[in-house]
Amino acid sequence: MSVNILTIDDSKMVRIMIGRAFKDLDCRLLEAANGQEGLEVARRNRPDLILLDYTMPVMDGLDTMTALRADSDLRSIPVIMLTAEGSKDIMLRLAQLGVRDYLVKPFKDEVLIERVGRVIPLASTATPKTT
Amino acid sequence: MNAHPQPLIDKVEALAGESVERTFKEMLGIHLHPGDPGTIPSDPEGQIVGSVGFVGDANGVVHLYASEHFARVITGRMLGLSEDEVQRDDIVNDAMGELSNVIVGQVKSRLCDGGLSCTLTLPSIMRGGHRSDDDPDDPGHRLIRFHDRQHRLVVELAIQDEQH
Repeated sequence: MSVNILTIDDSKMVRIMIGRAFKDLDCRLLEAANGQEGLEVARRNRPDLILLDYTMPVMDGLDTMTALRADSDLRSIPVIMLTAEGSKDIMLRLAQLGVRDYLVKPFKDEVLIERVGRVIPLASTATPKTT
Repeated sequence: MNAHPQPLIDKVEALAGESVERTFKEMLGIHLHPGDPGTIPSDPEGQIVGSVGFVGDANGVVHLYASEHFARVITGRMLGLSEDEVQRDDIVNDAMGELSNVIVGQVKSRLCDGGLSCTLTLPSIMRGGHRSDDDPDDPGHRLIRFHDRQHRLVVELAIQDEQH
């Protein structure tokens, strides 16, 4: 069954790269360029997973995470934080907010897929060969 | 006991150097080598500058200068495209911004883990010929040059030294 993954990141480059990483997987990719937009997309679509950038204009990752946790309809959606900053204080704050996992940029496609796969089931779109 | 703590700019220079080489190698497959300090090269093709600052116990700005051609190569590597396939300036700007964010993010993380709490600014991008207004003799200003066989990258540091 296809899963919905929402990427909230102000970098179109990152959104393209994530799209490329998931191209052979059975999933519907949603996008938003900041937290405010991301909350609207999440409310309309109820994604199975959110990939959330830490540093964004308008509404950053921490504020978005706080808003997600405060919304009874959205709080159960697992979130993986994407961040260029891997400092211990950031990791502690993410853990306190209930982020399921985090990835420090740059990350390889296969690492992203593996970490997402730990949280939600991912299936390939490749047709099995028959003999 | 060391009575003269290391100037902040020396720490940032070392961290930025490591971060640039590691990020270019791991993220882009480009092996940059450090060069001798020097002036920012004038490039007839024009330059793109990605800038990210950090604010808090440590304050400064890191600027990454690349030629427009090198910036397209960098963008292509991020997207799995050749530089000729990279046509849109907004995507190149975005790539340079993201690259700057990643590099300075690593610097910031190390500063924080070393006890200097700070937050990153959002990346900004400028295009065109650039001439630094900073005095090269300013102790808070430093240039770091990198190169591979075809391209050059210059990192400019503008750091406020908080050491007493």
